Amino acid sequence: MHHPTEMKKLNNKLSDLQDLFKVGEKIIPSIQKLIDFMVEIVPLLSNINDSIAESTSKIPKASDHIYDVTSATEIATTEILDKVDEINNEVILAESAYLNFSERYEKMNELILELKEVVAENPEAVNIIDKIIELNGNREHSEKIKGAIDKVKQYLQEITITLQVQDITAQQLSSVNHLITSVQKKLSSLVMEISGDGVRLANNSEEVIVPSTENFDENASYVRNDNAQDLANELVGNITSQEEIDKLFGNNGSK
Amino acid sequence: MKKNILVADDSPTIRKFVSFTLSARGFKIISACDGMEALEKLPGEQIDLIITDLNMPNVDGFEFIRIVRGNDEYNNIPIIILSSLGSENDVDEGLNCGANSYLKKPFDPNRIAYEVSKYLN
Repeated sequence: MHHPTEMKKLNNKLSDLQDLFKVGEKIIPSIQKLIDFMVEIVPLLSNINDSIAESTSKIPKASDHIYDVTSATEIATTEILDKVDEINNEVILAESAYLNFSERYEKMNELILELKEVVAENPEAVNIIDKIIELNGNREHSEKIKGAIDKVKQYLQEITITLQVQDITAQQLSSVNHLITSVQKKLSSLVMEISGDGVRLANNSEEVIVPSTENFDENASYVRNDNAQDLANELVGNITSQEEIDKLFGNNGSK
Repeated sequence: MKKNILVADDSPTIRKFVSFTLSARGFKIISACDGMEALEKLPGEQIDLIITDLNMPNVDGFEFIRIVRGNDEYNNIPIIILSSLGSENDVDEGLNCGANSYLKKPFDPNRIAYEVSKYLN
């Protein structure tokens, strides 16, 4: 016959077992729900994974496009500058020819007036000379030509300043390229390999090669006013204003 | 005799702008695409003035200026910084490195001609 204390122990064990079954009854539905959830979530996870992988694979192409845009604008700007340079050279030649002509014109007018004095006794000759003077016109036409030349030079200078926007946008595009490279790296680290033997991180995404790494000013901006230069002038101790410089150098910048 | 100006900038368009602006005023421009190439070109010809960008690959503008200022042969060459960076810190650092002038991009052709004329005329 069993000892009473052993029976008591057996009773306790049975009681514990009963409690365990009771807890099990409560837990089993939760576990079932967890399993159901996992069954639903794995395909979703797989979809998310595929989306990330697809997005990541497109980034190198986007990066290449940005680089192509920068190169194309660079080539176009250089070509425009070459043309501006050629126009500038033509304008300089035209200005030189104009100055030469203007000098000869003044001299010719002086000679005509001298001639008029010489033939003052001959009314017919004086009449012809007056007609010549009238045909020669006045200085107004000559000044119009000079004004037009100066304006063309001024416009060329303004085009030169405006074209610098290419450098600014190139820096901004480099900044965007750098940013999307960082995003690509982050996304690559999130791509997982889901297979029968488990889920693990994959590292098989294509690397983005950004031509110029961090040689850009992400805050570069195209601001055409003197304020942008003011701070630097103040720190350098440069007190000459842009107006004074423009007066000194004129439209074409030649002193 | 033409004065030689060494222009260091990684942007081909900016090198072209500077060349376009200063060649017309009688200067000879020697171009370099970064600080490293600029350092390589320094011994080649008598350089009378340097115009340098700050953001450049290999050797950036700050380092380039420090190297030039640390070299007995070249430390008297006037240096003008031409950069899109324009904060007080950037200007201070540029001047502390040894630059003589600081121009902010986009630059006015007359302004750069004026700065150059301060040192070469």
